[in-house]
Amino acid sequence: MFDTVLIANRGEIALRVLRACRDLGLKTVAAYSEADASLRHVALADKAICIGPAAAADSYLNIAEIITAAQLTGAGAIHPGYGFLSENAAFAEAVENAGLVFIGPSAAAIRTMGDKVAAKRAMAAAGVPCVPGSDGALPQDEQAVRAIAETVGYPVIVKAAGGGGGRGMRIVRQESALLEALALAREEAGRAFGNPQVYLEKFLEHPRHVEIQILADRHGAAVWLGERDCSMQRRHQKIIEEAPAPGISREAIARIGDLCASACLAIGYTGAGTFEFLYEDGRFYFIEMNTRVQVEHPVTELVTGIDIVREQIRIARGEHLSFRQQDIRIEGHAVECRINAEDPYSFRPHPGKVERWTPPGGPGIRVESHLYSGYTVPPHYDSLVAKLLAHGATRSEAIRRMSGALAEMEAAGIATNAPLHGILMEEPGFAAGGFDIHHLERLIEGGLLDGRGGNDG
Amino acid sequence: MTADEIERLAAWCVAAGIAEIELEEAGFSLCLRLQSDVVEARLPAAEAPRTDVAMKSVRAPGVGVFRLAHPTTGHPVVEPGQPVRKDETVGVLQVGPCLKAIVAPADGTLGAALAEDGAVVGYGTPLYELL
Repeated sequence: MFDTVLIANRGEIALRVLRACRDLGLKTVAAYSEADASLRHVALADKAICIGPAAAADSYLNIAEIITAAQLTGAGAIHPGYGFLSENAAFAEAVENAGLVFIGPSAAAIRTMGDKVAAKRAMAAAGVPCVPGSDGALPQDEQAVRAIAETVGYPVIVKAAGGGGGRGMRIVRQESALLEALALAREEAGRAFGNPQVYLEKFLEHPRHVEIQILADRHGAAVWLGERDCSMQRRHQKIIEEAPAPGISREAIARIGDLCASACLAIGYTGAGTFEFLYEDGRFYFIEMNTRVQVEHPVTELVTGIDIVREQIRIARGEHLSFRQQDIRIEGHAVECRINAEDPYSFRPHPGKVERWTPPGGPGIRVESHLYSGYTVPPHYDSLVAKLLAHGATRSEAIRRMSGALAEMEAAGIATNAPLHGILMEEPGFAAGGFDIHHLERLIEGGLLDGRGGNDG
Repeated sequence: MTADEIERLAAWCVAAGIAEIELEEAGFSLCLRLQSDVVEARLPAAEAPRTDVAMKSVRAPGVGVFRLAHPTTGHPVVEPGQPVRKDETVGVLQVGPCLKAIVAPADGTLGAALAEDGAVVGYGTPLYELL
């Protein structure tokens, strides 16, 4: 079994993986791009190797170079982190074919869950509730599409089978707009994802985003680790996540959690994963599965005490899960704020040199960040530079601690969205909990940020 | 054709003094261009004013094992001290059965090797001085 892990990622998650490896007594290799030589995990890893220029396509997405780097540095496994190649079935397959271990599910499982239509079909077969819809790609026949939309009931949403992130999506509120929306979505999907197939679902007006974290080993054991509410989003990007989800009964979570764990066994899923649901009027609707560790996984770690990355690596080593479902307890409440290097009001990226980094601390505070004083945030990648987490006995205690942490945090030299988070911690809708995924955009449209000039106007 | 067979073919060509060979059959084509040890004497590049003496270097094009000698010929591709042109192959990186060309980023004279034979190098690792 492998004793060295190559980390094929950057930033905070690379550091997070390095720490989990260290806890397990495993050695690490940092595979980094030319723009990332000064990253913290590169300095801490047992070995470091540059895999290409700054552009992600030539480095963090370069399958051949990453595999060569693993082979030449003696790494027996590759951890893909999140983003980049983490949900790329061809990469997982190439890693397996090279005789290395991919720290994640099988290529086949990634492939199934990466195709939204196939994923939905697999989930429906496993008894997981899905949004009512076209049950597969829409046919070319216009009459047939009209009939499907009629059965599902307006409003409906047309989505790309091969994509995400809002592209190839159209909301249709009446039949007269259906065919035009369909044509536009097909064209956009073809251009963005190389797959013009689209499907149709009922459009939920006020859903929350609630997701279930799972872990499944290679010996037929699967558990769920509670839920996360990730409804605070802007343009489909989560910015605040919390656990547990306010106002949803533990029994309802347990029912959906058990279904997710059984679904893992049904599809042969192993490793860490997340089932994402929309939640409206007391019902869960499966939307997609993330076949990797997620940005917000520490929220669950704080309330369960389980190190998800460590378990993920142990599973890849062929070990058994070290606990059973009945051992898992949810204690207190946890909140995460994603700190991005961006103007807090205009949302414009703001990379640059961090003259001084002072992370917050104190009881219940956890900081996941690769920042240090003097580090320069490069402009080439995602703007996430830190995750602040607060844990408390109650939701209000966690929020109070988060407010304090946000005020304490200092990243002189770059702009961050910490002031926006500070405002949201005090916002009545957030304080009450249970808001829907459009809450933040509604607040912004309603003038929440008016009169707060950004640094760059 | 396997990588081993190509390597043998290349060795025969070198031994026979063949500079270029092309093979084609259904679904397969191969073109080998071999740099002879006895390259025609090149004129040194026009001397640029050497006011700026900042040392340039030839860097690794990717991940691989640095080889001082070409595994097929047993000799360096270019001996230190020889003039080289921009984009000329001056050395090799070995990646399993494959070789990656290390090319000069500019005209100059190849200096000393900066990495040891057999060293695992990453993208951009300086491998030779370029004077």
